[in-house]
Amino acid sequence: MTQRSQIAVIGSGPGGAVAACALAEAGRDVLLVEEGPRLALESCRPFSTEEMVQKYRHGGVSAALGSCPVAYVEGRVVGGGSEVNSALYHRAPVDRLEEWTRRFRVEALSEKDLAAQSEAIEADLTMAADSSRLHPAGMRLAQGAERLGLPCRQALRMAQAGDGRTAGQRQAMSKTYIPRALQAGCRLLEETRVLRLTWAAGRWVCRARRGGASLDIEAEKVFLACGAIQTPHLLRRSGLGGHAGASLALHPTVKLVAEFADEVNGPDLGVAAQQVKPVGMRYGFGCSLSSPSNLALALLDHPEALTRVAADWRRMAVYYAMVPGTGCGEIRSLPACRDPLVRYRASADDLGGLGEGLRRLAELLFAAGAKRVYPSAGGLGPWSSAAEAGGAAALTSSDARLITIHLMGSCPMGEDRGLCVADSFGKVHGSDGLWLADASLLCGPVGVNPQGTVMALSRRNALRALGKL
Amino acid sequence: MNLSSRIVSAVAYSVCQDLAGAAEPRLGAPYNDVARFLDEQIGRMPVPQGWGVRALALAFDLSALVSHGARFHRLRHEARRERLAVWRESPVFFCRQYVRLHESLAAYRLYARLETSVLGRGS
Repeated sequence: MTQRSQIAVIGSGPGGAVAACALAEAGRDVLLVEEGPRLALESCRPFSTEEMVQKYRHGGVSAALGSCPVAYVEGRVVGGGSEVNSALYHRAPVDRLEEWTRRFRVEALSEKDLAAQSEAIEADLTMAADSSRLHPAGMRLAQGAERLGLPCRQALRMAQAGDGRTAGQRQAMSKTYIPRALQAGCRLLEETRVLRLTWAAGRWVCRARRGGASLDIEAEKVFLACGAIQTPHLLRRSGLGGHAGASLALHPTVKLVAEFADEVNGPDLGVAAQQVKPVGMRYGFGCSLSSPSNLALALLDHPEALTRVAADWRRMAVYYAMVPGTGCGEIRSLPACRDPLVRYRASADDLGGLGEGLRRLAELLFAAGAKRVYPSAGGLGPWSSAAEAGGAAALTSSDARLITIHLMGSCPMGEDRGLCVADSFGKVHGSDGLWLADASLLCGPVGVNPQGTVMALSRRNALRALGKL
Repeated sequence: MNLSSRIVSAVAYSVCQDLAGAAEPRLGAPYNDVARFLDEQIGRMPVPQGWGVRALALAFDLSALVSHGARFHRLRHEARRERLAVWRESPVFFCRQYVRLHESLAAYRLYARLETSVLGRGS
């Protein structure tokens, strides 16, 4: 069976949805292909085990292997990661854009160049700046930061206005760009896995599987937006993209649980948007999901506290320390394996920054009234005071329980062909009509939630492909 | 139930009894829901890692033959706890990671029961 279209967009997360919408609204015949199912945003409770099973690749159980494995998750549903994340939104930091411009020779990547795209995205999506300003765990973070003189900001959220404690409905792609794209004539092909791309007779042929049957999708142009892991995997399986997958970047993150004397937690509170970034430091802090199941996960190294979660969970909250990783990862496609092998080598700088970040975060939380702090690391804590946290041993690769929800940089963009898989506008070097439109394009760890950067770049690159930029 | 599922179920029951603590009826046995979740999640893992975990499960099950004269999934709870502790503290990275994976998944699913009771909805 064969499907034909002018443009095939493979992957329907923030990058693919924005590209498909821009292309369809420009009058192009677009086919949006997604491996996961099409499910309503409300099909299950956010951040539940049901959601893991329904909407995450591999049920949310994936890890980048190495001496210190990094657990990560990927969305696998129409709308991709936007259907399962907390919808926080940042523009790319200016210093990152300047570094990428310089090191990778990326053209038209200044703050001014991206501003128009970011403004368009922000106008399309409802951005709620204060949707969870009264979230009790977030307020504690803000209080502690104020007492230590650290800057705390409230991240924007792609969500409707909330009630102050909780955010309003997420502006996921299934609620925003995908319906718009479909309205403009885009067709959606869900539960379709593209296995390989080939270039034949002036067209791309995407060999796919759908419902147990083979399917060929023919298109003049293809936009790959499968995410930082799957995009290089598909390129490598197709013999394309040179060194695709050789430079995976991520934000290594470590969690800790703070226990307070009074309530800081409750049902369905979601993730608070308060974030702290100490000036001149590599690490930053924020709030994490604090449901009983997430508390239990973060307390595995502290069995005494874990067994009190049932009674005391409303007085406990999960926080994180995160660094833009300086380690390097890679994605390899193994023969006869449908899934890639993902590896990441955390650097000494990563572990040093995270260890220091954990101690500083504990100090902040004690300043905010925490009674005890439990780092998610073997052999560390619990801590009962800032002094105790400050004197703690360094974080080692065998102790650290690293996670990440931000993967990127596996197919960097730029004009330096020795480093970059795609050109400055996402077109794969040496290809005809093959574009990338996801976090794989970023030239390294962006330092903030990459969703806003991905959407801005995707829109910019789609306009470029249309000859409008 | 195949051998792999029997091993996962045995590990899940032993891990849950330690994770649950005392005096919380919502976290008590039976743990069939947790065992099923673990088995399904391991089945969903990426192929290279999933194969590795299945191979480790077999090694873990057989390793009890040497110390206890029976495979892990046939042991009583106390003997299972001993075997889990040995692998949890093992100098071999993969042994530690094997136990950690099961403990993480079991803790996540077990404590999701509290969310069901608090919210009155499916977890």
